[in-house]
This record gives sequence, C-alpha cells and structure tokens, in this order.
Amino acid sequence: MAKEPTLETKAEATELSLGEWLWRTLQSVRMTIYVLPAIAVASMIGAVIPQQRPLEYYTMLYGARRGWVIAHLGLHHVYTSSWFIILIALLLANLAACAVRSWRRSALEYRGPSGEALARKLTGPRMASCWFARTTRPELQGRLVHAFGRPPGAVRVEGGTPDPVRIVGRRWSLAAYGRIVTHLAIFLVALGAVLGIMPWTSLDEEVTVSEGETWKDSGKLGFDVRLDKFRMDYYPGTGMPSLYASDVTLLANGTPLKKGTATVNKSLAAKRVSLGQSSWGLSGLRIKVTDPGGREEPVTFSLVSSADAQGNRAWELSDTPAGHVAFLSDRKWALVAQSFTPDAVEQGGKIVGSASEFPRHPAVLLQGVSGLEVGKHQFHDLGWLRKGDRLSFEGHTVRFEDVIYVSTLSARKDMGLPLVWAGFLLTTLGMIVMFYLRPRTLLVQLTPAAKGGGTEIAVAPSGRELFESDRHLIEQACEVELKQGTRPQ
Amino acid sequence: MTPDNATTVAKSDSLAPERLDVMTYRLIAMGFVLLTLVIITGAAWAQYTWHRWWSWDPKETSALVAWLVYLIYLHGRLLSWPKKATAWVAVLGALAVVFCWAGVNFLGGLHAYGKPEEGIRTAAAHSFSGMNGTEALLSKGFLVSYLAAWVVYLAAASFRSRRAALVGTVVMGLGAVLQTSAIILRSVSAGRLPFGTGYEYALSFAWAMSIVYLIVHRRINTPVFGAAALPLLLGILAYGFLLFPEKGVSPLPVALQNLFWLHLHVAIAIVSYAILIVATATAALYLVRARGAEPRGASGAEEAAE
Repeated sequence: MAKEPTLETKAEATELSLGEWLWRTLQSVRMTIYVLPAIAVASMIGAVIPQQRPLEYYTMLYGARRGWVIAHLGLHHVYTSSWFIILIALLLANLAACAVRSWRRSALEYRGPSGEALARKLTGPRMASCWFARTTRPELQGRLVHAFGRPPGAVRVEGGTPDPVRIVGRRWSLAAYGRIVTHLAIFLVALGAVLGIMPWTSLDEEVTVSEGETWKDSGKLGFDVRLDKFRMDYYPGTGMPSLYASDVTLLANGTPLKKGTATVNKSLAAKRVSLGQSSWGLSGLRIKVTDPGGREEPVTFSLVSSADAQGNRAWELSDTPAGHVAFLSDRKWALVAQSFTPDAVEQGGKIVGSASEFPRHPAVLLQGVSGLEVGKHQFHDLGWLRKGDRLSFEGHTVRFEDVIYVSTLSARKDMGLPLVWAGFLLTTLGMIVMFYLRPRTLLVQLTPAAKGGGTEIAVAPSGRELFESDRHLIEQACEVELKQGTRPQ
Repeated sequence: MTPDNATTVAKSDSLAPERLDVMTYRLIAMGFVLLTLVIITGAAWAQYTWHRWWSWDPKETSALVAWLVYLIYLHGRLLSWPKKATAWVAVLGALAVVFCWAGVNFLGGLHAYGKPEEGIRTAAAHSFSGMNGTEALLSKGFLVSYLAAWVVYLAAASFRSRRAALVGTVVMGLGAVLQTSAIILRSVSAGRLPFGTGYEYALSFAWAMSIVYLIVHRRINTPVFGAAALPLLLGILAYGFLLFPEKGVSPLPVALQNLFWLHLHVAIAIVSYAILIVATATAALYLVRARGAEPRGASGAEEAAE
C-alpha cells in the first residue's frame, strides 16, 4: 500500500551531507514532537519539586535518599540547568527553521494553484459546482472581478477570446502567513525572555532594607534606596492584608532623587528601573523608655525569621545578647525581651500564641534587670507589653512603639519586555489567522450558454469543497437566481 | 478549521468516530488559542502585580505544560499520527489542565491562595456555609439537577431512549440556569465575578463547562456524550464544594485586587479549560468508538485544506 504523503515524507532522504541532514532535521515537525514532550516533562518536574532551595531543604522534605537524587540530578534548579537550556535552544532552532520552511510553503499558498491546474478540476471527478444564470457573460465577468478584487482578495482573468473566460480569485491569501507569523512570534517572545535575563541589557535585583535604613547601590541601579516606612493594611473585620506599601526615598549621591510609594500593584520608576513591592518581614521591635526626668531613650530588639517546609513564617527574638538585651544609658538597669508574638491570641487574660504571621497585635514579654551598678542583678518579670501600651518599672515608663519592618523591593529593568509583548500580540493574531482564516484559490469559468443567452457558471475550488462564504460571494456578485446546470463539456 | 468546510460526516450518527475526531480537533483548536491567551494575560498581569512576566511559578509552568501537550496534539495531527494516538494526547492534555487548575494549588508558590485550607471531612460538613439562603438553595438546585441529568443520560444511553435523553438535556439546562442565577447573585453581592477563591474558581469553571457542554451537545446529540461529560463537571463541583469549607464572599488577596486583569484572565481561563475538558469527553468517546480500528490521521495537506 502506498504511503500517505505527509509533510515528512516529501523530503525523503537520499544522499545528504551533514549540513543538509542537520537543516532538514532542524526544520522537521518530527523534531518538534521529540522536543516538546521533553520540555513538558522537565517543566513539570520543576513545577512539582520546589526550586532554588538549599540542598538541606530537599533532604528535610523528601528524605535523605530522594533528596540526594534530586541534588545530584540537578532537579532543584531545572530551569537554569544546562540540559534544560539546551532543550529550549533546540526548540528555538527548530522554530526558526520551521518558520523558514513555512515561508516557502506560504509563498506557494499565496500564489495558489494555477488557473490551468484548477481548470483540470472542472472536468475531473472533484469538480465542485456548476450553475446557470440568465445574465450575459460579460456582465457576470465584470461583477465577479469586482467582487473578487475587494480586499482581502485578489483576482486574475484568463482567456475570454474565444470563450470561455476564467476568473481566478484568491481569498484570504495573506492568511497563508499565519503559521510563519505564529512561529516567529514565539521566537520573538523567547528572544525577549533572553534579553530580560542578560545582565548587560537588563537588571534584576532585590533590594532588602529595614525601616529607617538605606540600601546602598553597588552601581547597578544608579541610586540608593531609603525605606522611610513600610505599611500594611487589613480588610476590616478580617486578618487579611489589603495593602503592602513601602514609602521610599531614592537617593543619588546622598541627595533625594525621588520620593514615592511602591506597592504590590503599583511600582515606582526611576532611571528606567521599576521598584515593586516583593516581600516583607520583621527585623526588630522599637521600645521607648522615659526616665523620671522625662528624658526619652529608644531601645531596639532584633527579630529573626524562620520558615517551615510549607513556607509558613514565624518571628523570634534574636538569641544574641545584643539582640534581646538592652542596657540603658545610665548602666543601672536593663531590659530583656523574652518572647515575641506578632498576632497575640489571648485566653483568660494570658497571651497563649499567635494567630498569624502578620503583626496585627504584636506583643513582647519583658523582664527588667536592676542592680547593675552594684553588680547584684535582680530580675523582675514585667509581663507582656502590647504595641502602644505602657508599663512602669523603677520610675521609668516603658512603651512598645511598633515593630520594625523590613521590605524587599524588586528592582527590574527588562529590555526584552517590548519584544515579549510584540511576540504575544503576534502569536495571538497568527493563531487566529492560522486556525480561522484559510487561504484558498477558486476558479470561476463563465461560458455563454448554447441557448437562451444565459451563462454557465462552473466553479473549481482549490480545496476539497467550495466554502459556503465563497458560494455566497459568487451568488451575491451575480445578483441573479442561480440554477443548477450541467457540467460543461 | 471553518465550520462550513468540515469533513462531511453522516449527521445521523452523532457518535461516528470521524465526527468525534473532528469535534475534538475543533474544540482543541479553539481551546488552544484561548489557552495561549490565558498564558499571555497571565504574563501581563504578573508583570503588573509581581513586576515579572514569568517566574517559573508552578501555576505558570503547569499552564505552559498543558499548552505544550496540546501543541503536541496539533503537531501530531500534522504528522498524520494515528487518530487514537492524538485522542490519547487530548486525554493527557485534560490531565495537564486539571493539574494546572487544581493540582498546582497544593504545591505552594505565588498562586497558593487557591489551596484548600481544611480537610475534606471538615469542608464536606460545611458544604453551603457562608452562602445566603437563596444562593444555598440555588446551589442545591443545580447540584441535584446535574446529578439527575447524569443519571437520566445513563439510563437513556442504556435503554436507547430518545425521550429520556431529551429529559436529561432539559434537566441539564435547568441546572445551568440555576447555576447562572447563583453566579449572578454571588457577583452582585461581591461586586465582582466569582473568581476570588478556590471555591469560586471551581464554581465558575463548572458553569463554563455546562455552557460549553450544552453548545457542543447540539452537534453531538446523544445521551452517551452527556453520560461521559457530566462526571467531569460533577468532579469539578465536588472539588469546589467538598474541599473549601468557607464559601462566603471574602475580600480579595492583594495580588488579585486588579479587577480588570482578574476578570479578563480568569474568564478566558475558565472558558478555555471548559472547552478543553469537553474535548476530552469527545476524545474519550472517540477512543471507545474506534476500538479495533486504526484510522490514520488527516495528512498535513488535508489538514491544511480543512
């Protein structure tokens, strides 16, 4: 049984040089079929296994043996692994080669079959339609040429002296380029993505800074970032955050360049760099101590964050002496922070835990230490102090002012972005054209009828059937009642 | 793929393998274009919200994987793969879509807000909690309607009863009307379309699938199609109702606050997913109907002509 002609069997291999073989392999759909599942499987692995975590994380999550396998196969950084990049490169080479091949095929489809080739259909077994109209041949010819010539069509007239006349119409011929536009557009997106990660064309930096502090630029952004205040709002009556916002001042050589707010849904731009709110945390607690004379002294404690395997975060006081012990300037006594809870849950007048990671109701458990000046330490339990509350200790007033936030801003400059958007737009257009607009050629042969002064209209389409819309076009152009006629001899 | 130039198939046999194959192709072509738009609008939204159009987040990646699987389907047809093989790829594509919709919520990442927070027993005990009385009544109504439609379709297919099949379609239509009413009610009370939580996403997805099913049913007018497609619809609803205990209207997470992108992206996503899941039903039916036979796929040239 003869093999059905397909895209692949057209180019049967004879004696090919290495270059020719490579080129043919690159532009084959079969190669696409091999590369696509490989990328799909690799991507799926990357989706299922958390990426870019420390190796200990995988041992903790999957156990020692599986963690070892993941680490040694490089499955913890699939998207930056060399084998994945090679796969993507192969796909892009395949795309480009296919686009070139599509260009050739599209050019052929643009021209369409010749009038002679279509004319053979009129007497062959696949002839589509044959009608009879009472209008004269020259008048019908004029109307059809006008109808076919309207964009997005094109028309050519053959013969006519002597009759019959053949009108070759091309419908949606430019749509043949849909495939090449789609392939090139995907290539364009990939090119934009590559430009977006190249360090000399783009920038992807994380700026992590605590409230009141300044992040020093190493020359990449062109400015320093001072976090004036970080704000979190909550939906009323719920514990759900409704806003994460960083009020920042951008500084160039120490002088303010720009002041503004970066939020999750609104970035702040300066010097072609956009700063967006990426993450947040808590770096400490701000306490104010007022002595009997009214002199105020700020005290800070440090917080460190921890996260479990599910990514749930918690905040703890730093276990370094400087982190949770604060000596007052008179050196007579000190404050010790014993415990911290960001979202205090109270039961029977006691704080028993935290409802969430969000510092909605922060509280700190304090201890006072007296007798430092005489070397006889005495510890005094001061109890839990909530944000905004005060307590007294040896004539001093201790007030929990607020937590100190740390904000992470993503600083991005993506030179590939215009290419990505253009690629996305063209992909959409190309696909719509490819799937819904079929280029086709059709031949209408007009022959004066032997009797009655009418015209026989025979139509041969390039495809297997006459499109209904083309049939309507011919019927409307002729403005006559078409009657089924006989096949021209 | 143009409707007026499809492969001619005897209209009397809705379950003719060729008819099912052509329908699967048409649905996948449409769903694939929409899936592409899902990825594009998702990228645009991510750029707006997270300042990065692609992060290899599990949701993004699984959408890409689903897209790649359907790309394999389309290229397989171009290569004249056996139609059974392409039908299997279509079934695989549905698995990728389901993973992208629900499975990925269990992996964490930027889209983890769709993750069920309670166990199935807790959630099942509160199937209608948080809804107002009318919405709960409508919800019970469409759940019962869909379930009844499936049972009637099964009976109609078993006993080859046209009347029962018609009853099944009417009950199915009633379910769609009740669900549409529930969605309108919820949208009015929320001030947005119900796309904000895992439950709402399942609700909208199931609604889109019921509409797509009813449209496709006009072409494949047989109770067997209903009997094959409705378990998928009921599965989506079961996920939404049994895994999410709180079904009240809740405020949007910060990342979802832009209503333009939320509505555009999720609306395209649910329609795309619905079309692709219905395509799975037609592909599965094709596999059942084409047992034993091994028809080749349309050649590239023929495909182009279609």
